[in-house]
Amino acid sequence: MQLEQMAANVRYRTSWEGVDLGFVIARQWFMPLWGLWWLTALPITLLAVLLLHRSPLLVGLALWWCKPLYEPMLLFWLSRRLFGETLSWRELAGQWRTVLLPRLLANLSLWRLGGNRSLFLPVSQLERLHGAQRRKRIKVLGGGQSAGIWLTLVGANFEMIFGLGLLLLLLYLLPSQLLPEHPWLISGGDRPLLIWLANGFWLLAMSVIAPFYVAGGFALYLTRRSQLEAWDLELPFRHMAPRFRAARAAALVCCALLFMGLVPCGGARAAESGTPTVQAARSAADVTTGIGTEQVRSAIKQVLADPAFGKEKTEHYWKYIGAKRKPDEKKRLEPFAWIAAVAEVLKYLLWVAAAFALGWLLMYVAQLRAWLPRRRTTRAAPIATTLFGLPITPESLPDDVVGAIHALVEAGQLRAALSLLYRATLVRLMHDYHLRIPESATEGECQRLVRSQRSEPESAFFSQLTQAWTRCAYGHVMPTPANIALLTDSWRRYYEGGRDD
Amino acid sequence: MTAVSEAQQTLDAASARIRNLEAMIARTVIGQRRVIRELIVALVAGGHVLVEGLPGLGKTLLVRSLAKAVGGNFSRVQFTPDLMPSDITGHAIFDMKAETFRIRRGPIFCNFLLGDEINRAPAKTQSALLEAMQEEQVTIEGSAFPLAQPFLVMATQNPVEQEGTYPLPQAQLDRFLLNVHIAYPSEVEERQLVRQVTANAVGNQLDVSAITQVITPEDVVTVQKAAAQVDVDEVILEYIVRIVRGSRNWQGIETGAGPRAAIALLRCARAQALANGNFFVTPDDVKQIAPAVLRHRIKLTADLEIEGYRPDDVLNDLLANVEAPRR
Repeated sequence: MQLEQMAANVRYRTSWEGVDLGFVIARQWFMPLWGLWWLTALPITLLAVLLLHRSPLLVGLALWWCKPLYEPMLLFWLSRRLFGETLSWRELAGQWRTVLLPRLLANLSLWRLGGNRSLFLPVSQLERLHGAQRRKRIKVLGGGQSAGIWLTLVGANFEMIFGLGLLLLLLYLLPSQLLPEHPWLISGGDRPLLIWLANGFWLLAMSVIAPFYVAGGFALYLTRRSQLEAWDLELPFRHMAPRFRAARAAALVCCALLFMGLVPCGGARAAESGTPTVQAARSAADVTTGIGTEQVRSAIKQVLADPAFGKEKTEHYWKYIGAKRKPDEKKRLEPFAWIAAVAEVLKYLLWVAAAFALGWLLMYVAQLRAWLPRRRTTRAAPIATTLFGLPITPESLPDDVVGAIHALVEAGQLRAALSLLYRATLVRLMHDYHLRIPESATEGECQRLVRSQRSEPESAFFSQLTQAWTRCAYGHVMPTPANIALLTDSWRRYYEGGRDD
Repeated sequence: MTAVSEAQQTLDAASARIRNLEAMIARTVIGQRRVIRELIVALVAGGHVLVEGLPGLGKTLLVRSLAKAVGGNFSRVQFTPDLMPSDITGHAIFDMKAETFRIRRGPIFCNFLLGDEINRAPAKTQSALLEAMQEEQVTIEGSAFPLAQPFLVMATQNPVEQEGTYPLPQAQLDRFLLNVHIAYPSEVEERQLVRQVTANAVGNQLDVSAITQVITPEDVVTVQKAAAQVDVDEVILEYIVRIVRGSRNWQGIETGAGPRAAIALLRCARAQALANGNFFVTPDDVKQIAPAVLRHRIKLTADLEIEGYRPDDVLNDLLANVEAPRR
């Protein structure tokens, strides 16, 4: 992190000042942030409307629930922009996966209702910490401050006020003739207009508040880090460093010379007098500076005692360490131990209910998915695979169709003979002449197909055959053997030799 | 003469009468062969027709022509929001001279009633008409008055103007045997129509002078009885039930047709067979008349309605996928 390049002034700030800084940042770059919010929120909105259009209340709930999904992109852009880097739309589009996906599931489920969402968002997104490291970091950042939660609460309230205000404004501006007696009536029935309007205005309110919320949380995060890591001190030192770069070399040379010139003398004197080397060094210091050790000590004490330098202060506070129950009190509470058991059971029941609700939601979405793509398609009429309960393949016909028909006629089975003739005709038409006859085709439709695709004499034969067949099948009028023989002769002419073209 | 040949002769005669009637009406109503056929099917099957079409497509002319060709009485009621049930059925009025109540019969006492824009009247008035259609009698001041036979109601609905209308509920729609759509005629037919209607005509009077009576109301009743005798094979019955049941769980249909639809389809298929000159019902008869029988008895899902699908689109899809009888 290049603190020198930060667009904001780094100084010691309280948490509230940090939030103020965030609001200033949001005002400064409101339009790009707003646009980015819509970039993520609009597809989600369209999807929610498409999937849940039957229940507008659910649409509103889904849009609200998905708020953690709209915010990472804002933070990503802001974190780069604040440190002087400008991202193009292409770069942003290329980064969406790495920006949105980390901790997405957790943010949309367990941590959705967390009050410090905007404050902790940079931890996972910018520092990319996971697991125990993240928890530790969050503990450090969140300790001793409540501004993050207040930011969430105030943001939610402003969102509600803004959305509701817009809705009421519209309702008050509408001519009374256009409204029913009680405006809330339009929330019911087939057209819950009021709920859709509320959803729309709420979405607008969310979009306006979100840049302030994200920027506020980010600034709070920077402020907190600044407090913990003393950026306000580090930066002035960094600014001072270039000024003392020349002096630093000279100081190093002096120290080196001093060390080389004095320490051997002291060592020699110590060797002569037999006193420890430390004392020799002290004496040497006294000789060189002309100030005694005691004087130095007292000077240090004076400096430390000065209130401008700093002071020590002892503060006392109350910390809850848990109730120390006496044995008789424990006894007194024993009869109520069942409450804990009931609570435990209720907890598991709630989990089960939540699992059921989730299952229902998944099934509902699955139903919608099944319902969406297929409804626009028209089913193609299936091509017949069987006729008269028999497979329509050339193999299903007897080798000698005409002979089989004659045999049936001689046996007095006129209906079966006509049925075989009709079926043999259809099989030939389908397999030799590639007529596509669907299962749903009636005799009349088959006739029209033949008329449109086959020659006139053949079509005339097929009409005669169909007429005879329908009279037999549905009118129960049996054909005469002569009639069948005539039709069989015609059939032989058209179909016995196989395909003629 | 055997009983079989007698029945055959009755059916032949009935079939000939139907075809004569059809040809006669087609003299004035040009380019609407399907509509004429469906109207005659409804008449022969003893049902009533709900006609949907834009104004000026010949609805009144159609019923007037039918009334004249059959020689029956014709009435027309323009349904409006302030129309009362008694305006249709009739009411009792006090005769000052005789000092008694006298029954004044409404326009429903006729053979052919044209109920124009039925959806403009409130539900109470619609119900009065629909009850009379169902029971074929009208009760005024506690006395029941049977309606003349044949009795056919042709109610019209304008599919475009829905402002200020009272759409017929599904249960009421089910009482109509057929729902007939009148579409625009083809260019050739429209030329012929304009030429014919404007020849020697002054003003907007509907010219039904070309129509002569070809059948009497009593003959119509005979034809209706003959239609009821048209042979129906078991496989045809199964086919009808398969179609109607298919509509109940077909994708895109929210509410399918009920058993009354299957009954109506069979009645209409018989009439259709007779009109086609057959004394037995074929799958073609069923398939031809099925859209008119079913289109007002199904309710499409909201998404299909939004996307502009019509019941006919879904019904065509259904009919193309229901296996035809094979034996």
